[in-house]
Amino acid sequence: MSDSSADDYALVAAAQTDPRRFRTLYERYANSMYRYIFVHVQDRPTAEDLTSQVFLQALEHLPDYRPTGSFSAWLFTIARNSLRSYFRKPHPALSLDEEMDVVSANGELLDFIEQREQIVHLISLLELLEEDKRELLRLRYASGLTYREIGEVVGRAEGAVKMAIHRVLDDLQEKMGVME
Amino acid sequence: MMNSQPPVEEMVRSLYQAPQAEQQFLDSLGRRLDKRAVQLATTRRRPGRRWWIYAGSVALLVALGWLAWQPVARAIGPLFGYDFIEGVGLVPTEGVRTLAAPVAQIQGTEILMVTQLVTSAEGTRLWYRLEGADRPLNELALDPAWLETPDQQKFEPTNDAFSARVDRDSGAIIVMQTFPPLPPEATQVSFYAAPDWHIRLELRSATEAAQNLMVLYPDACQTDHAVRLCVTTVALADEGIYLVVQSESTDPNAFRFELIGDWNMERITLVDDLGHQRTPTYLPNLLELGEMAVEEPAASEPPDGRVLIQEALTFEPVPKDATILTLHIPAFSGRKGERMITQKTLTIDLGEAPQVGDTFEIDLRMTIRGIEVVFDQAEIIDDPNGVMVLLTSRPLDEIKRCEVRVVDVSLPDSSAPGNTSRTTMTGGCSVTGEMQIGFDIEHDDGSLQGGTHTFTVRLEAVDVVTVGPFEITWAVPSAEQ
Repeated sequence: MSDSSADDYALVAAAQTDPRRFRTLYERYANSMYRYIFVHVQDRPTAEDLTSQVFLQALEHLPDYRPTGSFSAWLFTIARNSLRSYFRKPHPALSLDEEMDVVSANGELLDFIEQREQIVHLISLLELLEEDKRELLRLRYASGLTYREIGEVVGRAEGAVKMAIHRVLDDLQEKMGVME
Repeated sequence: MMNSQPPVEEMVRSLYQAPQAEQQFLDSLGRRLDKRAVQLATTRRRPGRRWWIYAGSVALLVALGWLAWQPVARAIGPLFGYDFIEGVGLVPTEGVRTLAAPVAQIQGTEILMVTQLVTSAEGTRLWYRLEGADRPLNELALDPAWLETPDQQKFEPTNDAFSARVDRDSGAIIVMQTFPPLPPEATQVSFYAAPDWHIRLELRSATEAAQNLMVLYPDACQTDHAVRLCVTTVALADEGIYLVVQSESTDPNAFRFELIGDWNMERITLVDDLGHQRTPTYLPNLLELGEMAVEEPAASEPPDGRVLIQEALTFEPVPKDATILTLHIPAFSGRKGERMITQKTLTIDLGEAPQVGDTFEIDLRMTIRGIEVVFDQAEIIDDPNGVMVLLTSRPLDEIKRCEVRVVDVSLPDSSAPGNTSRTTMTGGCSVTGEMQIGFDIEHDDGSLQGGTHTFTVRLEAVDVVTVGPFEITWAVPSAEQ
């Protein structure tokens, strides 16, 4: 168990006894949760609404949480359920290049990537990935979860997650290489 | 194998770099959580959800014979807490009023429907959808709009939050706007919006809204081959019925069986014991309302090798004297992990001066796992994403559509160096029965790239496994008993 997980368990135990102590857990995960949701919905008000729902549900259901997995995995499972509900309803389908257009609007991306063709190619490759693989990338790179935490969220072994992400990256690298 | 470390990993990391949440939002949510935490700390805690599900199911079965609809609803409703507002999500409901029912008005070709309103001491949020509007979104966002109570108190938008988007399926503009808190005793309010919309809205307390709901956890299941299908949650409301269906595949090769999809949805029916039959109907408010009854989050993930998928369906209401419901699913398909890929290269000469509407005969034939996919036409179209060449296949039958999809299109020999070739794809179980592939030919300055384009199409065939039929039956309390 990592220090962070052990720390979480102590915080969760405290919050299960007294919900007013939930605030510390919220502060720990608020930003990564928001960013994870934002990458899915690409809309600030919607991301804020869904982030609110996730934490309110987590607070509400905290007595049901059992420390068989990490708290972060449990929290992101709630988020995935919320997102699943959100996308079950008819919303405009967000293509990955739209996703990236919004993301790149902050300027950081364009600073980093000088060759636009490369990034466009990468976006199109990501768009062709299966949703479960893209989800692994979001959990890893938008939320910053560890392989173990991702494994707990998606119900796979840590090693399998690590392998899957590396395979996706290898595959992308190979296809990008073809372009160069 | 090539090294997967930077730059691709760094590029992916950068692409998924989302903005930080705004501090104002984080503080505000923190305060909401604190407030709710205080409420939870000072009230008796609900029993654990799992305990309640099982006990509740047993109690419902016992009560089946003698409890009528409304008493059951009243008995059960409060156990859910009053924290979920239809169409909105979780909010504290003390002193909260919501829209009694959606209200629509027609003016010329436009239809405006107010779908939800929630007002509390913290403020008011209003959701509406506008169909048939021939005005751009940004213009609509600037329209003056306000709320007015019968005693002529006027409430201008606060613009704490505003969202507007276009539903691509219906073309409707969907708007959420914020206003100051309405008087806590308000039972009516009028919504005014330019040019001359005036819609009277009836409000009711959130507690009242939560009581028109009855929820069952039948956990009725059937297994076919490696797939176990269960109806885990049923929410009966005045406006319809909400089901959560869970599919669990025990095959170690990780089948994914998903009900929701054009191919499967057409085949699902819900039949009551009075002989009425209905197919799934999209009822957005009921989907929201039903969420409160779903067991989530999943307290434990299924062991490795199993895939558990929960999906929600909504149907028109069942008669109140129905006592048995049956969900019929003649068959549905799942995908197995194995796949085959085939690829071919195609060259198209678009000529010197390509124009939107130009068509080209092509002959791209690809056979994968015995299924022939033939692309015989290309057309230059003006797509919202830019002018592109669209390749359309001959129709495939539905099974083949499910088995084959386009996975990749690349233009390694593009005759336009620096041209940003983009690809779009459709495939899988599309309703059109065709596969389409598109690639951009529009330069940033709007001119079109003519000449010869050579590209490679890759098709993927996946193993599709069909299971069924399923007939899952459960009992519901009847109001007539």
